[in-house]
Amino acid sequence: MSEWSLLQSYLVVGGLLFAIGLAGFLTRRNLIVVFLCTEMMLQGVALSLAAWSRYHQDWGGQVLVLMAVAVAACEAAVGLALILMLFQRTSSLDVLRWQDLREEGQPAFVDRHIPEEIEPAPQWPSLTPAGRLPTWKEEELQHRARV
Amino acid sequence: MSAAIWADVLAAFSHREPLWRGFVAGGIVLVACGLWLILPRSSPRRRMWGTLSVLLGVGSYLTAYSESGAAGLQIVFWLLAAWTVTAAAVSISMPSAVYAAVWFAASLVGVSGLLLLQGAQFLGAVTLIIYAGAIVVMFLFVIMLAQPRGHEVYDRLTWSLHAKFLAAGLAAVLPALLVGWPMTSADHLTTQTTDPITPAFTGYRPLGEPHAAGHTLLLGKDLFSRYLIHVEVAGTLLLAALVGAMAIVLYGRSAPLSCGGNRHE
Repeated sequence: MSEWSLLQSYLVVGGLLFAIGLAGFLTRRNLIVVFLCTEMMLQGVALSLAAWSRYHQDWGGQVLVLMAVAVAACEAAVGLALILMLFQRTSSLDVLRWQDLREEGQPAFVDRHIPEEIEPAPQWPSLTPAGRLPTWKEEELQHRARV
Repeated sequence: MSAAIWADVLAAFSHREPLWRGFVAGGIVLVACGLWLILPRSSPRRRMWGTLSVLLGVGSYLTAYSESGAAGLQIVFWLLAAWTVTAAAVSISMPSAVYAAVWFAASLVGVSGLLLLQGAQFLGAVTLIIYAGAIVVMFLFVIMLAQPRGHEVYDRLTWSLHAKFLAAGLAAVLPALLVGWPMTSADHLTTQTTDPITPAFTGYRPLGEPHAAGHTLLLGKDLFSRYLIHVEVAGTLLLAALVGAMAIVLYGRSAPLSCGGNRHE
C-alpha cells in the first residue's frame, strides 16, 4: 500500500462521512438530528485533513482539525442553547414550524400523509408460576367431553 | 517434542523485535479467545464478540507476517472504515433522536481509530474525549430537556422526494469522484507517493521506538510556536461562545420574536 493509495482511501472515507451527514442534514426534520448531521460533516472533513497532513508531512492539517473541534464545541453550545429556546417557544423540535424564515413567495409546506407510528408488540413480563398444580383424575383426562 | 526444538523456537522468537512478538502474541490471544467465544453453547452476543476477536487476531497475524505490515494495515483500515460509515448511515436512519446520537458516538469511535491508524494520536484521543465525550453528551442532555415524549410526527417524516433524491445522489456521487481522482503533476513533487508506507516521517514516531520525544510534544511545539495566534483566537472564541450560550438561555425567553413560530397549517 503506497502513500497515495492510503490518502485516497482516507479521502473516500472522509467523503462518505461528509456525504452521509449532508444527506441527513437535507432530509431530517428534527432540529437536533439536523445539528448532529452537521457534526458528522465536520468529522468527515477532519479525516480528510488528517490524511492530507500525513501526505504532505505538515502539522498544519492536524492543527486545523484541532481548531475545527474547538469551533464545533462552540457551535454546539450556542446552537443547542438556541434549539432549547426555540423548543420552549413552540414546544416542538420540528423544522417546519420555522418555514417563515424562507424566501417570500414560497408555497407553504404541509404534511399530507402522516404515517402511523408502528409500535412493537408489548413484551409483558413473564411471571414464574407459583402455587400447587391442580389435581386431576386419569379417567377424566382420557374422556373426551365433546365429540 | 524434544527440548532442543522448543529451545530453538524460543530463541528464534526472542531474537525478533518486540513489536513483531507483540503482534504474534496478541494475535494468538485474540484468536484463542475468539474461537472460545464462538462455540455453539454461547449466546449470540458472545458469538458476535468472538467473531470480532477472531477477525482482529487474523489481522494481527497478517500484520506480523506480511512484508511491510501493509496487509494488516489494510485489513484494520477496512474494518474501521466499514464500521464508521455503517454507524453514520444507521445514525441518520433512526427515527429516535437518542439512538441517532448514540450511533453517531459509535461512528466517532471509528473515526478515532482511523486517526490513530494515520499516526495522529493526539487527534484520536481528542476526538474521543472532546467529541464523543463532551459534545455528544451535551446533545443527549439537550434531547432529554427538549423531547417531550417518544417519536413525534416529524421524526417519522422527511422532506419531499426531491430532497431525498438530491441527498442520496450527492451521497453516492461524492466518494465516487474522489476514487477516480487522477494523480496530477503536482503530486509527483512530494516524495514517496508510490513507495510503500513507512510509519515514520519527520513528525511521527515509528511504532516500535521508545517515546523519547513523543508525537504530542512535536505537535505541541508547532501548535504553540507557529500557530500560537490560532490557539489564542480559538480560546477567545470559546469564551465568546460560553458567554453567548448563557445569554441565550438567560434572556432568550423574554425577548420578542420577529417572525412567527406558531404557523403550522
